[in-house]
Amino acid sequence: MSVALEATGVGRSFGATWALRNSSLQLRSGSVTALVGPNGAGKSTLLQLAVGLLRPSEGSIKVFGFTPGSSSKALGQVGYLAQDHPLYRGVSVADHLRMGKDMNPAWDDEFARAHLASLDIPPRRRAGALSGGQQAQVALTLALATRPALLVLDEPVASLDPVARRDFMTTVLTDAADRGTTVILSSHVVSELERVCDHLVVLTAGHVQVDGEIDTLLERHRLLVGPSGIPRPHVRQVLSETVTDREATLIVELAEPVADPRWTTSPLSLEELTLAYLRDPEAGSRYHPLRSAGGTR
Amino acid sequence: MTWTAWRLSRSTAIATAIFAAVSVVYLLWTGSQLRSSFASTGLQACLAGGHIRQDCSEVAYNFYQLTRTLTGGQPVVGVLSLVPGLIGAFIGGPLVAREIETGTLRLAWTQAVTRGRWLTTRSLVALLVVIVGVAIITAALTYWRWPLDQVDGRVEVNGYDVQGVIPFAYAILAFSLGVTFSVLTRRVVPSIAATLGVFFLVRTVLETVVRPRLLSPVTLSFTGKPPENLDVLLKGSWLLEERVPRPGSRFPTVYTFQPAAHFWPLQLREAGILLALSVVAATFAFYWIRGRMH
Repeated sequence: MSVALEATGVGRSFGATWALRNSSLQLRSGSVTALVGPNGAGKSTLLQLAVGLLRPSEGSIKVFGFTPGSSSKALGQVGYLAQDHPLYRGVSVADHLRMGKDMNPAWDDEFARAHLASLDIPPRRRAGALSGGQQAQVALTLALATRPALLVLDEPVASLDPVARRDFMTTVLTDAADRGTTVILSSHVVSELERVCDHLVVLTAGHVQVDGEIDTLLERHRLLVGPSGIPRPHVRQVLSETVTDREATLIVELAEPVADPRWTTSPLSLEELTLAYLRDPEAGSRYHPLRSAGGTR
Repeated sequence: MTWTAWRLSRSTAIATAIFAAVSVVYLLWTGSQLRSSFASTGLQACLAGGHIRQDCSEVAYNFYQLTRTLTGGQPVVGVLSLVPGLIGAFIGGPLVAREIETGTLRLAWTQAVTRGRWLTTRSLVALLVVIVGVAIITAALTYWRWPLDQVDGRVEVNGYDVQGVIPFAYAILAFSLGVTFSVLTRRVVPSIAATLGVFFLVRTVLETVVRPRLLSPVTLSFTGKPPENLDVLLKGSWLLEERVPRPGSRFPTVYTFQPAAHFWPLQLREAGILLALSVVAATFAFYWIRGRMH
């Protein structure tokens, strides 16, 4: 198991404001990571640091051992799709592909053409004349055709309708599955990510709040319901609690299985888990799956 | 990267070509009329006889009258002498700023091409468009200017600014300033505005303060009767100062001027200054996008 991206105490300030502060995380090679957080949490900043559009003000970030953006080789390993999926409005789709080929040694022209044909996107149309969903697909195709080892997608589906969202995510996941691409995508729509991603990073107010494998996170978090008077089970942390005269409802991170049979435990969905953390910015959960799995760094 | 740079400069190249074509048609049309009236008024023959403008004042007057009615005369060159700088500013000023405004810079800078190479290639291809445009217009202006060069010479401002290497040097400076302000302001309109402001300031200072001093002017001083070869010496020169005392005075008559032969030495020196400034501006832009724009 190798590391695709490693951020160590990374932070970035704009003037006097810190968009991201002292954040550390690792992306396992081949993983699909959801980067979740409220607006202004620093998601775009973190992703722009990963592709080399920004430089860190503190700490360091490495992608496959390279400083992002430092050389054409480092650039060639990363595919990036900005939030507004920018294209040259007056330039045709076909000429966008030709520019991609012109600038990327690893360019896969056959894939790009076949993929756009399968989506019925006319190559001679100007990019500005395409629908929003088509523009997103063209921009994604440009990123995928560079055959990146790390694909960075900033709010990729935010502006798309449900059908376009599904088509878009299918393209990303097919590529990740076929080529073992490491993917990190930011979103504030958590519900769609559960079936797509295997790793979750929650960013709040410029800090990494949660960083872990989704399966592990779901396994360790439970919704507990029990009579209000009974002693609390031993847990790592309580993320939320609602107590009435008769009943207590807790969302907890478990330290060990709950032994007391008066508590009924049920698993959380990824969305419930994420929301519980977002409502309680002080809470934090880290599993460092790479280190716990044998410390390959 | 070269193809990409060309593709992204293509619409600019087409606009420049259209502007150049219109200018050429106009200049060839009025230029040919200028030449025929130069011959028909007898001014050409008068000057060819070794005389200067002042000796042919009668026919010169007729020529200027005809010129004014035919072509609008001198003001055309006054406007067209600004064109190289304007082309440079309007192509250089938006180069990076437009990509920032439309967001495409984030697409461009995440391809497998480093920023430094991206800026260098984009700039050189766009600069080629500027130079070709300026070359076409300068060639047509040189054709247009020919009769006036015979009359006034080409060292004085109106002739000097539109011929030789100076139009190119000013265009290159305006373009480099444009690219620099493009990365500094990050917006198209402020970038062009700042470029034009600084460009015309530099141009005015060079034209009025620096240019007359680039080469020591020739000073001609005599008391009483002028020397025999005064006409030959002054022909086609740029007169900087003329002190003519009252008749019968003991003071000498003094002419200070840049002679016609100083045209190329002056042009090359001034162009050298402009190119040095351009290199400074372009180097600044290059290091700015590599170091600061992160």
